[in-house]
Amino acid sequence: MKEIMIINLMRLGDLVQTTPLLRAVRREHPTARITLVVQDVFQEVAELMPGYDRLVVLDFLRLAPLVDQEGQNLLAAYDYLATITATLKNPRSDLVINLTPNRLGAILTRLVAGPEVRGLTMTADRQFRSQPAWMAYMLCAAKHYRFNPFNIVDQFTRGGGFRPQGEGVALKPPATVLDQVDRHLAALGRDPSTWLIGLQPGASAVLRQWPPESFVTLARLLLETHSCHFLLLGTEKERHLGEFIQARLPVGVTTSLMGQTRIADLAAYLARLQLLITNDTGTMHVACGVGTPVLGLFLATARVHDTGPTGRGHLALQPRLDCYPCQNTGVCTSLRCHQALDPALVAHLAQHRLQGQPLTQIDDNPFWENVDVFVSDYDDQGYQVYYPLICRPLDPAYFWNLVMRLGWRWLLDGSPEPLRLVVQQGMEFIRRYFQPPINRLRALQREQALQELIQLAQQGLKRTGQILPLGVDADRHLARIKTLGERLAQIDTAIVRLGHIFPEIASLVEMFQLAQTYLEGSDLIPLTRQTRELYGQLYRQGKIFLKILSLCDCQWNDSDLRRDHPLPSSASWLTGAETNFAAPNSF
Amino acid sequence: MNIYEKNLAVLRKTRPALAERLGQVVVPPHFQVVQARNGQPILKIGEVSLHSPYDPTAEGQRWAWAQEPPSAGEPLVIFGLGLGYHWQYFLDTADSLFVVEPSLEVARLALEQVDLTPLLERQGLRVGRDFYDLPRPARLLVHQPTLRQQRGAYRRLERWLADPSQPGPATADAVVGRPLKILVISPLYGGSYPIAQYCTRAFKRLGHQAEMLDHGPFFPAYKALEQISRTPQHTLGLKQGLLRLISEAILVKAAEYKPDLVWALAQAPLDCQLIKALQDQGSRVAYWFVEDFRVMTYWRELAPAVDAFLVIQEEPFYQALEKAGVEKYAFLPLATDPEIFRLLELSPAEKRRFGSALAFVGAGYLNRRQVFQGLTDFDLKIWGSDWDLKSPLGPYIQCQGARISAEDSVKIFNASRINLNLHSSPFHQGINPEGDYLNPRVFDLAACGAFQLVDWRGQLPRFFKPGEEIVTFTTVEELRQQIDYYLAHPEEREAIARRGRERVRRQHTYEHRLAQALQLIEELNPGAWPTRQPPATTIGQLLNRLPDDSSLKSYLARWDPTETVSLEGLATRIAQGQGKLSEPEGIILFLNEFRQGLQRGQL
Repeated sequence: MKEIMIINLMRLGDLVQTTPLLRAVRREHPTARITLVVQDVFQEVAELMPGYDRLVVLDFLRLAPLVDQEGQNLLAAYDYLATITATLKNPRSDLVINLTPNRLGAILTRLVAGPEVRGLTMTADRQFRSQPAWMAYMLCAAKHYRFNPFNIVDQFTRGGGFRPQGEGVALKPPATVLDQVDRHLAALGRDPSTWLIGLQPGASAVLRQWPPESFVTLARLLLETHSCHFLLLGTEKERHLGEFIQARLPVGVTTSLMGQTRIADLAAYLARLQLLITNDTGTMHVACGVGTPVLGLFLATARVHDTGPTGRGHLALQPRLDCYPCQNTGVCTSLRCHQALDPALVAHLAQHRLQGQPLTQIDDNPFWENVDVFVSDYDDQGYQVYYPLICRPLDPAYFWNLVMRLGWRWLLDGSPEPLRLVVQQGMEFIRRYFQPPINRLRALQREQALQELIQLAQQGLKRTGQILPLGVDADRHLARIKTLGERLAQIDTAIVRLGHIFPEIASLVEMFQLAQTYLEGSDLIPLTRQTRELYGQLYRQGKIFLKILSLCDCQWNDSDLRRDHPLPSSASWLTGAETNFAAPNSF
Repeated sequence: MNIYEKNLAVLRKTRPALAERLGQVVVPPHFQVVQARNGQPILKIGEVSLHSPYDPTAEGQRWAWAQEPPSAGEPLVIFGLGLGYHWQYFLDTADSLFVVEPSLEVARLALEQVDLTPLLERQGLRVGRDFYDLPRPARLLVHQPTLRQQRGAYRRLERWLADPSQPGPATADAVVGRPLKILVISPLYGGSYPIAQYCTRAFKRLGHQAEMLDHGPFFPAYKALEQISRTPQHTLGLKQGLLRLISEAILVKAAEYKPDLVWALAQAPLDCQLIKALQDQGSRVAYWFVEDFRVMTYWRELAPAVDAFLVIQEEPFYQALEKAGVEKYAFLPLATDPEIFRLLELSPAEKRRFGSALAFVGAGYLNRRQVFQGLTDFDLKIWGSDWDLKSPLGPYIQCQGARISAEDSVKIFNASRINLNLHSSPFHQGINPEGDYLNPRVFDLAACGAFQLVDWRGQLPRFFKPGEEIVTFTTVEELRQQIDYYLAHPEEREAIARRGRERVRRQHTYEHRLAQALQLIEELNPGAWPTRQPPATTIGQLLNRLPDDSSLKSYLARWDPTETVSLEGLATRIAQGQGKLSEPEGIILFLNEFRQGLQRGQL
């Protein structure tokens, strides 16, 4: 391939998370010219990203007033887009990868597409399509993020058609900017032993913001044990949060950069930090990109497994509550998750990381009751993974996360390995980092949901099987075909209903529904054959997940459940003794 | 040549457009020039004086001395013209002085009363929003009485002067043009409940997308909770629980509906936490406090939290608001819905049922019970709730004191020869001699073309001409005289009612008020609204502007050139079209998707 184009019209964090894909593309096509297409607001981020040859920036700021005025300006907007399209088509790309999971990206992809397209696109007959299967999964996972086990970097890489290589995100701030930042930091006159810590109190939504009061308490706790200087990071709109924090801390221990940094400045400041304590934000991903350790706080709808810090050795906290992650529209008046992340816990973890102590697994105790703490790393296949820092009995939620991870990867990768072997590898990971479950985890409800899904898929196969012979003489059998069609509609309704009742299996249902929208043509027989294929696929998927459940469950014998399994060494660094947090062998 | 002509002559030379505008101003009667104790003229707007009623010169001098003088070369801008007592001292000391007066009426009266030529000759007067040519940055001084009258206008000026990067009037002045999404929050019950419905209808008639979150259905549950426990604390706790649930429902609705504006009526179940959450979701929150601030004091908590607190009373409420730290408030009086309150042809049976010489519709407040007992020798009918059936008024109370629907009220208003309108007061034994705000009944009765006798209110002359469009009373004795007179003069009664109705339809409908409200909210929060909707374009007009070799031209040429076209309309057609998607079609789809993303606030 000579020309490859990657379209990512998303925001800061999403753009940074494209860098592993860029590296994978470069590795596989070292001589190709890679074009990256981004929106202007994030041009600065793109300029820090390595791995592409040409950057094309869509001038959204210029386009916005034009489309808002219509009339004469609409023509100007049209002309602008026609020019950009011509630029992107010259030369035509051999491969276009669109990572933007919305119609805007899909239409642009249609306008500039070459012979091969990956990601969401629009077809010539005005339908939306996505490929490969990983990309379809990414679209579905966005809707059912609560049970998604894959980090977005891996979804991007796999969606682009490449294999993860155990590489985190990467950004390179310009040397001149680093020099300026160094001069500024030197001018602060800090003692060399003072910890330089970044605080990012803002987030994309208020519900995902750890309260500024908690940041204040955290900073005070850290100051009690060590000399610290805090850089307050964020946008102009978040400045009030920084002012709140600054006003409650001793004079001279904070420097607010809120609303004052360009992306290159931000990256340079982050590169000089010893630790960034942050909500789930773009700043977090930039910190990962410049290799700064992160302590991430995940609240409300934010999940570590979804968008956690990428790379090795970052810490991420999320609440351990029955209402987490938020299941509704993100509306909440109790904000229990904000309280669950106690500043004392965050301070302990921050100190540990700042002291350069190794990350060792710790025993559970009431101190950690309401939190899960994860450490970021890669598994043997190079996928991002998060290990629990607190050694606990395997709980149903993490177990299901594992089942989904094993099942979807086996299905979407088209893995040649026997399923039994894949499950065994997964179980080795579980045995290393979890105590055996307190009860058997073969949750009946989930098993029952899968059984019902399989039955419905079987019914779909049966009905489509009945339609096919009738389709040869459709006019004669019109009434019967109509009846069978109505039955199929009832089956589909039942499948969708099942996804609502059991959100754990909603990703299967969502994939099935998405595939239904991709059916082509209007002739009865080909359409029935395609539909039948979808029911067959759903049937196989249901069976696979059921099999994984069963195989995993067999891994524990009764003695396991009596909890006489040899526990991993778990002396807590909180109590002094330490054990290295071992890297996984396989997963 | 008198002062006015002298001023106008100079203004014609220096700012002819402003001279033209001020020459045409008709000053309403509630703008008055009166004499201070020392004999100097002062300006009053309604009951509010812009200057000291004792010695305005001394007051102006004190004010000027208290201000920090501008540094050398620094332009000085003073908000509030008044009659010049406060700013004239700066004519000599400031290198460059500008006075910005938001009200055309005040400027006109000043022109008539004061020699403004020293200011006019240096082109120092700006009126209304005509301040976008002022030099920036500048020192801004504020005449407090003007500020209290025109807080929104002040915020606009202040913001513009403070931010030199802000563009000129084209965008800074952008008023509501694009249809807004408005979520109206009703109370569970009470007088403001129907107003929430009228507001929703009016917003829609103004072209906005409005939806009312109707809390009426929760009222039975709210009342039912009173039956659960005899312990007041328990009942209170239960009711608070229900209100919390309703709060969550509001938040969920707003999260899904994504309104530009949340419009809450008095007694709507909002608290500061909910208001903050709504604002965090990207909505402006305006609260129309259609209450007497002396009786209902919950405004102290809510008013500082909202983006606009709209009130039906002026001073001393303004001072109380400022004392409570409220900055975003403005005056928005009540109005009527002319589609509900209208002239009605009644059947003879309806006339018999609803008609009488004298009628009153409303709740049985103490002051009304007392006044109406003095009218029992007339053919009187009293409609509404909270009346004591066992009192001397018992025989006059209709329908056993049941609540009266709006539709029945309209019939009563139309059927009665004289409608009484006595504002409620919990503080007065009879008629409140210092009543300020107007109740909705004033406007509703007028809209029905019904003749009303209303107790005198300070604000009344601002809305109606007393004696011509409405008739007032201040004592029971005067009321009885008016009743006797107007029962005997039906033609006069009808003429006054007709003029009142015309006035209301011309100036006092909810559409008038809410258009003004959106303007006020925008002034209090400059840049609050999305930008203006463009005029419609036809395909022919588009084609004329396109060069011959444009791909879009050949694409559009197949369509009817007289057809009105919008980006959304084009995109819908393309999405439903057949055949292979062409590049022009793809570009239009992209632009439409982009525009929708902008409107959603998420690309």
